[in-house]
Formats: sequence, C-alpha cells, structure tokens
Amino acid sequence: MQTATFSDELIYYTDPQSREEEIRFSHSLRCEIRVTICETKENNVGWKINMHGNPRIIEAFKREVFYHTVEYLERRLRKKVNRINYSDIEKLANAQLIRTVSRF
Amino acid sequence: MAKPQNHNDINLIKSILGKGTDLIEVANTADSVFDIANLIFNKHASAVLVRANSNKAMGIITEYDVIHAIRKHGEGIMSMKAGDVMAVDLVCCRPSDTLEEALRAMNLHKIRCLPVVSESGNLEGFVNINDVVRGQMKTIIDAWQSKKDTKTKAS
Repeated sequence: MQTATFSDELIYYTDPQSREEEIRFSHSLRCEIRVTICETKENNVGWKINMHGNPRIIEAFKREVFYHTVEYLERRLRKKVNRINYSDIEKLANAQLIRTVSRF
Repeated sequence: MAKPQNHNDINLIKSILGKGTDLIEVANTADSVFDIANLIFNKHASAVLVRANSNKAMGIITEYDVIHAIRKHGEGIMSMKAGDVMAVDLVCCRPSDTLEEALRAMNLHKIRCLPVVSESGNLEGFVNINDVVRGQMKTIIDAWQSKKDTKTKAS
C-alpha cells in the first residue's frame, strides 16, 4: 500500500557534491535559513535538524526554526518528538504528493 | 470512471470506485469541527475533503479524526477548526489494486475508508469497507455462478 500526502514541505534531496542524501524542509518562516533533516547516531532520537545559511541569521532565528520544525513533524506524525524515528520522517518524504483531485 | 475492461477488472478497486453509497463532502479549513461532525452525520460520509480558500485541497477528515480530536482536546474541540484536525498524510490505494489488497490495508491500519490515488497523483475518490466487501462478495458469487453454469452444461 502507498502513502499519499497533501503536503510537499518535506522532500528528498541529494547533494550534488557530497552525494549525501538529506531531507529538506521548506518552512514557512520568513528567514533565509535552509533546513535539512538527516540521520545521526549522536542522540537518542536518531535524527537531527541542520540549518544552513548566514551564521548571524541562524543564530538569531535558530530557536524559532527549531520549534517550528519540531511542531510541524509532531503535527504530521501525530507523535511527540521523542517518539519520532528517522524512518517516520523518511516515510513523509517518500509519500506521493496528491496534485489534483477529481470527482468532487 | 473507467468501466471494467475484462473479467479480471471486476476484482479491482477501479471497478467499485464511485459505485458505492459513500458520499464525499467538501469543507473549508476555517469550518469548525462541530460543522464537520454535522456534515459527516447528516450526509453519512466517511470522509470530508478539506479545502483552503484558494480551493487547494489541504487534507481530509474522517470520523476517526473527529473522535481522536475529542479524545485529545476534550471541550476545547468546540473552538477548533477543520484545519487543526485534518489528516495530511493518508494510507491510500491505486485504482489498479485488488479488493483483497484494499481489505488487507484497511485491516492492517484499522481504517474503514481508503483514498484512491492514481500513479500521477490524482485523488480519484474514496472507497469504504462496505463497498470493498460488497465487491468481494460479487466476485465470489460470480465465480460460483460461472462454475455452476459450467457444471450444468457439462452434464
């Protein structure tokens, strides 16, 4: 069975240089910070949020961006953040986007 | 909806799509959860499609989502909007999936309504468990009837 989604904010992205795969989160905050989520063994949850951009902007907004990202994941997965695995996030990124709706 | 092309199509989701009594209603993200519950009850719908003001489909709300929200938020549910409780991610099936696969998915995920999404990402409709069981029964009865006819002809 497939998983489909109405939301396209989480997408897979392969870095052309490092060839590393990461999941990009297109947040709705009006600041120029690129947010990616990747697998890690550094913590208990098994994933981490990376922020890319101007270090000053990141320093100023990292708290807001972090909470926004966590809230987004909790809302979509209907789980508390400490119960979210990287595979859950991967499933969201792999879900087929519903582009059109017919028969309504 | 495409009509069944051959005998094998009878056992597919596309053969029952749109034939059931299940109505799909449309609501707005700003509608209250109370309005959604009324809509589901009055129209006997399994799922309500939620759209934004821009007409873009944002998610769906099923009976389960309403019950889940009541359990989670209690009395606070009365002030909540459709956009707060809708499901954005859905377990779905393809029009080319078999009825058996759909039943298995419903059983596995404990859901009674399955969205049908084509390979191109078009949400074609919903099938509920009643439609699938009815389709399965028809397949079984047809197979039994054709077997009986063959036996009668042979004798």
